[in-house]
Amino acid sequence: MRVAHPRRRAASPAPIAAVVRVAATVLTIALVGCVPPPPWSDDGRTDLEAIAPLELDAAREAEALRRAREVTVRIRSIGCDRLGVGSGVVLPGGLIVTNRHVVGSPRRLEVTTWDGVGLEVVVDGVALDSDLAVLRSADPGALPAAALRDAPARVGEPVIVVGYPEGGPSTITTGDVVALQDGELFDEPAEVIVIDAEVRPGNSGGPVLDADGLLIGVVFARDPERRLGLAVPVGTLLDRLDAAALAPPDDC
Amino acid sequence: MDDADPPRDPGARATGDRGPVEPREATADGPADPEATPRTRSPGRGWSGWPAIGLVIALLAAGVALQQRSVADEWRDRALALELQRDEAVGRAEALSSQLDELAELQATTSSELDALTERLAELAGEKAEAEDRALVTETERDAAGRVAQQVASAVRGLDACILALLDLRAATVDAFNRVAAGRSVDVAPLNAQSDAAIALCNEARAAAAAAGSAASSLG
Repeated sequence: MRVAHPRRRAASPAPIAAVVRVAATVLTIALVGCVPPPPWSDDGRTDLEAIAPLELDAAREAEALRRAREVTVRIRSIGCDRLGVGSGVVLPGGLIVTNRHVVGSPRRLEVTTWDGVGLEVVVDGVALDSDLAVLRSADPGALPAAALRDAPARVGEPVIVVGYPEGGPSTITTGDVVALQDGELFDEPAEVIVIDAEVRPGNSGGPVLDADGLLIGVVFARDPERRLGLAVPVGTLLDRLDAAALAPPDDC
Repeated sequence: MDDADPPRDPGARATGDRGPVEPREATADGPADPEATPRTRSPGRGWSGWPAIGLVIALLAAGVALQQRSVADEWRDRALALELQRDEAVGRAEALSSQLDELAELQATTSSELDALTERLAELAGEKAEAEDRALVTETERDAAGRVAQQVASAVRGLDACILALLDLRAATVDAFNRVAAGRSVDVAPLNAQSDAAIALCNEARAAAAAAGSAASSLG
């Protein structure tokens, strides 16, 4: 006789199913333990694009003009019965370039800067074939100097002219190079620079600078009818300096 | 009766779709059949350790969860702190930007004032130079006038000497004529020499006067 026994538990689930259940349980508990990230806010962000750009072109132009004024000096030539006033430009090494006709036949020369500071100078010499004269300062370290440009002047390029027209205060005018003219008409050995910047008596000997403040010429004359100025190119100056083609000025 | 379908044991329990389960032959007290081998328990089948393992796993999971929550809390705190720092930095940047704007405005004002001062300095230097020019011109003209005055004075002295010489010559000439009229002899050589000297003095005086006149003209 077969005895009926209490039924045992049905067969257990497969091991894989059990592992899945356990993993799900662990994952659920882990997820329950997570916290959300703190909220972010976009308030108060600085807009860097709002910073205005620097106006460098205007600053450079102002600096060039300021520099141009500093390198231009006023020259007073006291002769026997004559008083001449003109301009000059300071070069490295304490040299000051001006016109021969500004120096004239001096008993003495008095040179001052744009702000009235007096300079002790001597005459190095005057050119014989060009309207140029070279002075030398006794204290070269005290003067800002103009840099010379290697490239010759170009028609159409802008220029800065500085001087002491009619013996007045330092004056800056601007214009362009309008032509390069044969220098023979003006007893100059090379082409001269023709500019339309305003030039008046007293500007003689003053610098003609390019837009970067580099020296390209020295004013020596003007054409009042055409309202043009004439300048000796810096190449002529360098030739006269290099060859030491200078002579003492005429006696008073 | 069909033998393919054995009679259902009323003790059998239907288990779902598996159909009635045949009751086991073996019992707890031992096999019904003395010759049958005792059954061994298979793993997973009725094993009582699963709850313990489940409990351990649950504890481990709880521990992991607690640890993760702690880490998350730390990260949240750090994020909040960084956000505070960012807000402070933004505030400082805005303050600096405002100061920069003020400085730029101040610099523009200062630059404008500096330009005005520079122009004024150039004007004053120009006025000083022009005043010195006028003084020098005055001095030069004064010197020139003085030289002209000296030249005129020299010319005047020359003319005086010329006139005196001419007067002396006239007197000597009259004396000579009187001697000749009285029938006495006259030596003309001294008279000629005196005449030459007078002419020379007068020529010098004329030259000095001409020079003084020219110098005076140049003063214009």
